Amino acid sequence: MTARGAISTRAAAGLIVFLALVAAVVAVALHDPIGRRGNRLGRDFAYETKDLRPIPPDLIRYAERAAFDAGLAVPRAIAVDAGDKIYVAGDRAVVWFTTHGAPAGARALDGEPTCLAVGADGTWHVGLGGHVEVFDPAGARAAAWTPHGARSYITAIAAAPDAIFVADAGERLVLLYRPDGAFVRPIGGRDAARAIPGLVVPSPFLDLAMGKDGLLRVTNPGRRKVEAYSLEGDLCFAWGEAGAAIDRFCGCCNPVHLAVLPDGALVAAEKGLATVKVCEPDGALRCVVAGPDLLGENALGCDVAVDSRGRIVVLDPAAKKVRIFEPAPPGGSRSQETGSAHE
Amino acid sequence: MSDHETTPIPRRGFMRAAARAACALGIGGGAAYLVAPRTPGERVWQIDPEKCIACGNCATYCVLRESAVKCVHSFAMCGYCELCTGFFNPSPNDLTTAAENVLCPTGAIVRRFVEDPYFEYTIDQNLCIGCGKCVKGCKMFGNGSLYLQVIHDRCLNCNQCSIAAACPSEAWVRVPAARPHLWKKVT
Amino acid sequence: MRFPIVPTLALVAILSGGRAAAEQRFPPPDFSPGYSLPVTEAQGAPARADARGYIDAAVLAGALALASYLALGRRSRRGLVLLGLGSLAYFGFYRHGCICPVGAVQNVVLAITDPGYALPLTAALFFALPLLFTLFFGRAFCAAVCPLGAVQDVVLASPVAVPGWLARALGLVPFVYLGAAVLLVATGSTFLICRYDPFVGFFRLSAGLDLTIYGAALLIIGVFVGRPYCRFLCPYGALLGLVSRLSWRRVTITPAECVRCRLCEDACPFGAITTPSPETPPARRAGKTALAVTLLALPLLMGLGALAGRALSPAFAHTHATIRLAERVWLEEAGEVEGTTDQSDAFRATGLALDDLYLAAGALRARFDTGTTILGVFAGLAAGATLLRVSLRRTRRDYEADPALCLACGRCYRYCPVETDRGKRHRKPREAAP
Repeated sequence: MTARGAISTRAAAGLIVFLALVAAVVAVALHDPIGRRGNRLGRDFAYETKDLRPIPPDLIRYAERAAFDAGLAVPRAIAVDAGDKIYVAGDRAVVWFTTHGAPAGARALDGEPTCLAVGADGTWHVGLGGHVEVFDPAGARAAAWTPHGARSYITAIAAAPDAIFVADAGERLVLLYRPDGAFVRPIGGRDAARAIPGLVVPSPFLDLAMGKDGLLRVTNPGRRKVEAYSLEGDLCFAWGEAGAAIDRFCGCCNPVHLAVLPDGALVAAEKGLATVKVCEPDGALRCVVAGPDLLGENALGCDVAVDSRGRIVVLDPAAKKVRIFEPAPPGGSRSQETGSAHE
Repeated sequence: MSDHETTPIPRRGFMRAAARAACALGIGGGAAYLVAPRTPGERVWQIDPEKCIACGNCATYCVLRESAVKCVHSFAMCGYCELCTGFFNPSPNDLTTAAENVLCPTGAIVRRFVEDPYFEYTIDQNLCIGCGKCVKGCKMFGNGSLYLQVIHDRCLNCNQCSIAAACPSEAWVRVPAARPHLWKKVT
Repeated sequence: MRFPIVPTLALVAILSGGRAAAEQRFPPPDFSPGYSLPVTEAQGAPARADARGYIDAAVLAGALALASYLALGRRSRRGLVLLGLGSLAYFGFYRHGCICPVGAVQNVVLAITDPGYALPLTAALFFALPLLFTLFFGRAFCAAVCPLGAVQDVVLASPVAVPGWLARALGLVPFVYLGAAVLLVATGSTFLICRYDPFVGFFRLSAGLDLTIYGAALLIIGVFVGRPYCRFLCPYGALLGLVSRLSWRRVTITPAECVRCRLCEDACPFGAITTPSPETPPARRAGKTALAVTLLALPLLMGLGALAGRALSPAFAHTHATIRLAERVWLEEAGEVEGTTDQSDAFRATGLALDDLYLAAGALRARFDTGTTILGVFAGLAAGATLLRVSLRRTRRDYEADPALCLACGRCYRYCPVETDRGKRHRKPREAAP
């Protein structure tokens, strides 16, 4: 090989090496091992709820007037007594607050509470997993009832003067007790003869509330319905449709919590796209209290309660807060929601 | 070799031999020390389902063209819902298995009627790509019984898992090979 | 190294995360008899058996022994090539290049710095065996056992000599790479070596476009520049180079006495052949001055390295997920960025306190500050050591293979007339035998 040939070969090799070096440096610089570019999967692979979230502003006729920390790691249930004191159960305790949200007391429990009801006489009924414990207004334990069944899991209690209703999500039944703890009858079990389809409870959410018309309202989340039962256990009527529209119950297993307003309307809470709405006793949508913009997207379920003045008290388990809503002109809650959305 | 070099060599050779022995002891002993006191056996990669946010990175960051991550189903946690939000679109036209109602982009979830009102959902792992779309739907509305796991007959168990490096929620952990899955349990 | 305990605990709290609030304590539906729940566990698969790792380690040991024999005993280039191809096929394409001794360095460091990590026996063997073999027989591992080396050896078609100064300068890169990899493992960031392994994508026949280009570019360079990864990047090669200086036996170009024929001068594509010292040595005085200057420069280099390392600390710190997360969350909280990321959403979903995150990130940052400073000092030390080696000229009478640079590939054997002569003498009686 001539000297010139050798030189041009070397030059060509040098050029190729240089170009390859540039390519290598660029490739290394572009490499994204930490997932900065995301999964690059495209729309078909994304779970999109954006289109389901918006709520017509004229339907939002409540505004958040106050919010305070529940002070519990896992708050589970909320109740309001006749004097509008607010009780929250969670962790292994019940804590209570004044009507304005100032801490007023706490009582430790022997287990993790799953639900809570405070009767007109101030007696507490606390669900502790499979059984109910009764506390007198001073907080002393008065009784502990035996579980109804091996699978019992109590998710809601409603106290009427002469009856205690217990929602047993594990046994898929509502249990009617006398105040002294004597079991009267189950309600809501599947019964073809009485045309009762049965409660479908896929997850630990089964709630009930005593309607102003004397009928017990029970959620049937697996069928996306609210059912009205007489105290004898007859299914009087049921309402609720599945769907993403605001007047329907969205996704599986909704609604999850109920409360009754002084005028008899029902407050229903949904999980998933967490929403609290007010429905007429026959099921027609009246208005919306708050939607996922404020309450978030999760399967935790916001427990709801109503005080004597018609304020709606919502336990937000994601933010671990108690939120108090009052009626407001349509759309008025918008600024409130954006104002407190960023915790 | 000339004479004047013969004297330094033994000393030098001795020093080298000593250094070599020390080095060998260091490497061998160090490795043995690190292995000996804690031998719970080999470790393999797994996803902690409690931390997983189903971001979809598992589908695309695996070094395998078909990710070793698949969706699994803890049946004991499932509600067997008629309207499963892990199976149906958020807003299905109808509760049937028609393609336009179905969430899974690869059709990997099989829905089977058990008895009124219950339906069983199983994952066809040959179709599942581990994108986690159903996981999000199940977690958001339901019980979270669908979740992602590394399937070990597919996983190469790379020294540095490239999905783990790209995981936004630090859900990837090394677990003992004897119990290589983190099944969700009904407690 | 000792780290403050309190921040480490905070870090553990961050990393272990908060458990989801809603515990599932709920029985499945009451099915009529005849339906039984499918077995959840049947969807999994048992982890691959440990035995495979031990077989790999045994194959490694066997290949190392064979390579050492071929390089030193048989002096067979052909045997080394065949063994290299075999290793490429087994460790590369069959076992997908993982785990490899280069990456095992990181497992060892992790086992030292993270008490929760147990070093698998396979990783320990992959780390230690090549080092031990090198300590006794030179870098036969590089010659014919490492699949990364073998794939580069295959493509080396038209070697071009790299200028000595450039080769020495680039030879520092592996030390910096090793130091950086150790730092990133010790801080719990990542396995840098595995992330930027250029050829593992080829072994698995699946890699992203970026790393495919990276690997292909290295192979193209490797057509002209002998084994660019081994010489100018491989962090394990840096360790092997150090260890091989102490090796008991090593490759010699000639099997007997060097006749200084200069035939082998250009034989080595890796620039590992050192030429004899000039007949008239440079003035003692000049040599002494150079040595003194270098010795004085050493602390200066280390100091500069420390400053540079400290300045690069934020860049290194950014490789750590917790620090990235803390920075992102900080910016979001301060309203300096719009929206959230998957990372920040996931963190908020855990319900952990912001202050704990910031505390953990702060502690990690401090570790990075220390670590990058040490890394800088180490890089300065490596550079100084290289200068020192240049100025410390030992008198060499023969053509020799530099123990640190020689990859024991055996290419030079056939250039040596003494070897050829020996080969003839060996072959003759055999040919005559039948």
